[in-house]
This record gives sequence, C-alpha cells and structure tokens, in this order.
Amino acid sequence: MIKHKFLVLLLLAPASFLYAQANPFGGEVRPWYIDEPCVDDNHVNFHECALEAAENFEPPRTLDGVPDMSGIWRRRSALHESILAHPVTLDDFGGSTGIVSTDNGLVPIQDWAEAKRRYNRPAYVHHNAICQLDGIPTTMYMTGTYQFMQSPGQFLVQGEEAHAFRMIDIDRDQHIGEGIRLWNGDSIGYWEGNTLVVETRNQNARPWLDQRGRFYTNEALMTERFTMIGPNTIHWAVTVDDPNVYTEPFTISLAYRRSRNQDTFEVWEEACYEDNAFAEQMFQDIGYDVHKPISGEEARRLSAAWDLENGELEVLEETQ
Amino acid sequence: MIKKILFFVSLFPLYLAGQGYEPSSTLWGAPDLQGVWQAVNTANYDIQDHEARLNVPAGYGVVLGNELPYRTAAFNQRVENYRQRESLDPEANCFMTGVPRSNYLPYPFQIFQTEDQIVLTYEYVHTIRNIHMNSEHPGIPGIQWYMGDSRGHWEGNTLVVDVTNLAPNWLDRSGNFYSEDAHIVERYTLIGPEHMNYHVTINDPQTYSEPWEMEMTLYKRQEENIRILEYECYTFFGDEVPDAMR
Amino acid sequence: MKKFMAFLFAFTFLGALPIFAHHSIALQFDMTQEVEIEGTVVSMEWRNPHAWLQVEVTADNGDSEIWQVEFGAANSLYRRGWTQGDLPVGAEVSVHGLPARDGSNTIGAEDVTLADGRTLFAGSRQ
Repeated sequence: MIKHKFLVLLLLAPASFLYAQANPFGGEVRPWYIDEPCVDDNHVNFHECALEAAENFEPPRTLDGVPDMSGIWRRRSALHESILAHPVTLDDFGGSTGIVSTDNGLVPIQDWAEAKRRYNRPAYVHHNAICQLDGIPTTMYMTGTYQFMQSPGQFLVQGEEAHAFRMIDIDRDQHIGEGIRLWNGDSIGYWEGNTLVVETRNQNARPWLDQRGRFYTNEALMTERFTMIGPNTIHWAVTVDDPNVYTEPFTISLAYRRSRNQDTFEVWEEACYEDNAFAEQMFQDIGYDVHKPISGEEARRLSAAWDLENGELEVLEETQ
Repeated sequence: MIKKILFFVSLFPLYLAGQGYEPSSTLWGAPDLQGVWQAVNTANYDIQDHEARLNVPAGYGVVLGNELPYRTAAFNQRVENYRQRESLDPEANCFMTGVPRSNYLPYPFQIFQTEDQIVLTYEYVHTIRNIHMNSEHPGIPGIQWYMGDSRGHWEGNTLVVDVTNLAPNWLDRSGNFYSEDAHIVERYTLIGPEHMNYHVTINDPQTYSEPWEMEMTLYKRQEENIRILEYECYTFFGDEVPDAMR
Repeated sequence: MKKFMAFLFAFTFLGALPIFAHHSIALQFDMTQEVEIEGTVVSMEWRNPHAWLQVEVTADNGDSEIWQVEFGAANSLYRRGWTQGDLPVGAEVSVHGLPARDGSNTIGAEDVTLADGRTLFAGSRQ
C-alpha cells in the first residue's frame, strides 16, 4: 500500500506541475482563471446561475457606452470534443453536457441525422485537423484562449489556434445575400440591455459542431448571447436553429473566465495550413475523407428517404 | 497688380495640399484608419514597372526609383523564383503572403482599431495581424511568423509599424522576395477620407545591399455596409490537392 | 484502481502532447499502443501548428532511419522560454509515445528523455 502511494507521488510530482500549468480542467488550482461567480464545472448549473447573476451586475462600459467585454478570456469546457456529456479518456478532457435547453441534456437530433453523425466520425477527418475554419458556434469553444476586442459598431473575436477570427458587425441592417456562403457565416449583433445578441447566417456548414461529427446545414440560424455576469466572467449561450437536422432549436452554454495574465498575454500567430502537409498526408494515408457539407435541400431529401426506409406504409392487403 | 494677386491665388490649392489632410478621430483621439481597404494596382503581379503578358496587366512599379538593390546570389535566386513561380510562389500554395504583400493582394482587408492594439484582418486565408502599440518586439531569437511581429506608434497622423520576425516570403508573383533577416517599416497616412498613403521601407541585408522603399495608395471600399468575405483557397479541393498546393 | 491508474497515465501523458488538443489525437495516433525508440537528435522544425523533432535511429540491420516526433506548437515552446539554440543536436535521446496510425516512422511524443534523465522541453526553461 505504501509502495503504491510513493509511486503515485513520484508520478504526480512532475506531472502535476505540467498539469497545473497546462490543463484547464479540474483540480483545485486553476492558476490562469479568475473563477467566479457561478461555478462552471456543470454547464446547466452555470447557465441557470448566470441568468440570475446577470441581473445583479452592472458591467464596465466602453467609451461609446456599451458593456465592455474586451480582454483575454479562457474557457475550460470540452465542448469541442462533444457537446454532450462525455467521460475523461486518453483522448478527451471530458465534461458535462453543454446542452441547457433539453430536460435530458441530449441533442434533439433527427434520426437520419444521428445515423449520419455516427458515420461522420470514423469516415471523415475533423475540419480542425486540416486547418479549416470552425464556423459558428464551434469557433467559440474550439480553442482555449480568446481575445475579445470592441470598437464602435464592431466586436472582434480572435483565437490563437490557426489564427482564427470572426468579426461581428453591430446594428448592420441585413445579412449578405444568400448566394454568399462563408465558413464563419455572416454575424450581425445588437444590444439587448447588457446582452450582445448575435445572429449568424450564411454559413457553408462544412465544419462540425464537435469531434463527434455533429453537423448542421447552410440554412441554420445561430443566435448567441454574450452577457457579463461578473468582472471576470462572461456567460455565453448559443441557440442552434436548424429544422433540417434537429427536431427543435437547442441551446448550448459555457463560461468565459478572464485570464489572470491578460495584461501581458498577446495572441501570437499560429499558422496552420502552411506547415501541416505532413500531418495531412498522414490523415489521407489512414483513409480519412474530407467532409462534404449537407445543404438544407439535401437534408430534407435525406430525411424523407429515411422515413421511407424506416417508416411503415399502411397495409392495404394482407398477403398469404 | 491683378496678375500678381491671381498668381498667388492660383497657388492656394498647393498650399492646402502641403498642410496634409486632417483625419477624423477615434474616441480616444487617434486618427481613425478604420474601414475596408484595398490596393488598386498591379504590384501583386510585379512590384517593378512591367509590360503586359498573358493574364498579367502592364503596370507601374511601386518601388521608389524602380530599382531593387539585390545582392548577386539573391538576384540569381529571384531569377530562379520567377522560373518556378507556379510551384514556388507562396500565394500559389495558399500560404500567408507576409508583409507588405498582403496589403496589395487582390482581396480587401479591414483595419480595426483600439487604443493599444490595431488589428488588420484580411479576406485572404483569414490572415490576421496584431499591431501592438508602443511596445517592444518579444525579443525571442529565431521566431519566424509568416506575418512577422508588428509594433506600432503614431508620428503625427501617421501610423508607423515596425515589423520583425518574418519568415522568408515573396513580394509579388514574379519572384521578388525577402529573407528572415528582413526588417520592415510601414507608414500608414490618411490623405483623404477614402485614401491612404502606404509607404514601406525594406531593410534586408541578406538579400539587398541597401534598404529600399515602396509606396502606393490604398482605397477605401465604398459599398454600403461592406465587410470582407473569405478566400480559403486551401479548402477548395477536398481530397485532391493540386501540385502547387502540396 | 484501474480507473485511477488510467487517470494518472493521463496526467503524465498530457506532459508533452498538445494540451488544447485542437483535434483528436486518436485521429492520427494509435492510443492503444506505445512505442519507444532510441536515437540521436538530428534537427527540429520549430513550426506551428506542430513542432517536429527528427531523430536518427539505427535499425537492427544497421540501416539508419529518420523518425519524426510530433510536439505541440512552436509558440507553446517559445512561451515557456525554449528556442532553437536549446536543441541538443547530436544528443542521445529516448522517445516514448504513440505510434502513427498510418504505419510511418512517426511518434506522438509523450516524453523525449536525454541521456542524463532530463526531459526535452518539459516545463519552462530556467
């Protein structure tokens, strides 16, 4: 028994240093975070707590008078792995479900789409592994550290990984035309009290929602809400609305915590595609395909085909 | 007498031009450079004077004096670059195109400004440059970034940006290039509400025997509510990536 | 106990591999296997999204082959104070990690240990 403990300590000592420095998930010490209010190890609890906390907090303001959410922000959730509850494994940090709008915490996905998702995961390389942009909402939880910046009429989010960024235009009248589809779509924001509401359309729907192959179509509407609930916490939630794939709109939520090193941290360039050829060749050699997006039209056709395959026609006449 | 008065009156426009344009300010009092900008020239084909050839328009060079002071070995490299441009050009490979070329690609870019940090966001492969104001380069030897490390400060109404830590890159589709030793200084000055003077000094002792300069006008895009779109060239081909992009 | 040991393994495991695994490691490497090689440090590419260490290994038949060892992003190394000059070219190393799923001489590094027992690029440079 004592031998085991010693071994455990030996293993833990160097590892825990790296763990404390690098792993954002769990443990008593979170050196980069300012970790309050509303504990966020459980997304549902955080979401409910945050909705209340928002009512008691008056955020700092920018020079043009809107809530000031600028700074360096970290998320500790592992929604990029799966937006559903999933355990810790060698490959996953794990976490509770990010879905806060359903009673059971599951994704309200249509049957044909769940079957497609299960095929997606083993068949296709994840978009992020080949340096493709993440789309909305995945951009907001794919990487761990973000810089939010504000200028009158604009809200800029950038992450370091693969130099991803998205620009939100505040109070623009209308979205770009339907003939233009973009990886990160087209985002228009507006203020509702202290909450920045952002509507995103015009996505090409090539990226996934998580590493489990969850997808949407080019007709999706993503509505995000950013609300400061404390000096160092932003409550973020997104409602995914795509009746081509899901049985109802559903909402995912997570916490951004202000980074303790925000006065010194700088986002550095992390090129991706330029030096990723070796890894990309490996994916090809293993046999992964590149995922092709499903359009709204194709989704409806697949859904009808699924019903035909799995539904039952009314029996007109029994046969012997 | 009237002739004298008329003579001086006729000089008045020159006087005005000499005063420089007074741009509108941001809320904290800096010149407001924000907007969607694009170059309208042929520099991306060739930064020097050039004739037309198939798919390449003739163009005025943007290099002051039109001469590039290449060292001999570098000049030979430039010739070789031109010969193999279809496979070697970073743009043909969908790589980020460094400084200053990203500013005169045929895609617009956006300038976003806060007091401490100016961000350039590009339509081309979601390139992004963070210009930290009034601060030092990281000073870590050996770092090479495609877009380098940029530190800015104001000189009057001119944004001066000092760029180091660049990975080797090209200056155009003709094979003109710089090395990892390049030290580039940019100067952005509004000369009217829709026009910006963009002046660049390139100091790269490994490639050129002396510093040299380029200069051009950047034009503000006029469409209402315009935003930059996306040019994600490396995603066009799915599994079958063309040779130029290997 | 098994669960606890697996959890512990995860701790040591997280030491060298990219922490914010932008993509699943299992996509590229076989997480049910382990591989270990010994060789000489030849060179390193300090790149993003991954830095790559080249290690020369002498196979049983006397042939030498180059193995590619995948690290996290060069930025993460720079942030912890490591630079190109710190690479001990010519040093003997033992690399322990995950084998590539495509069968190539590629390892997702768990640790790269030098002859004196130090782990290459672990923690911060002092």
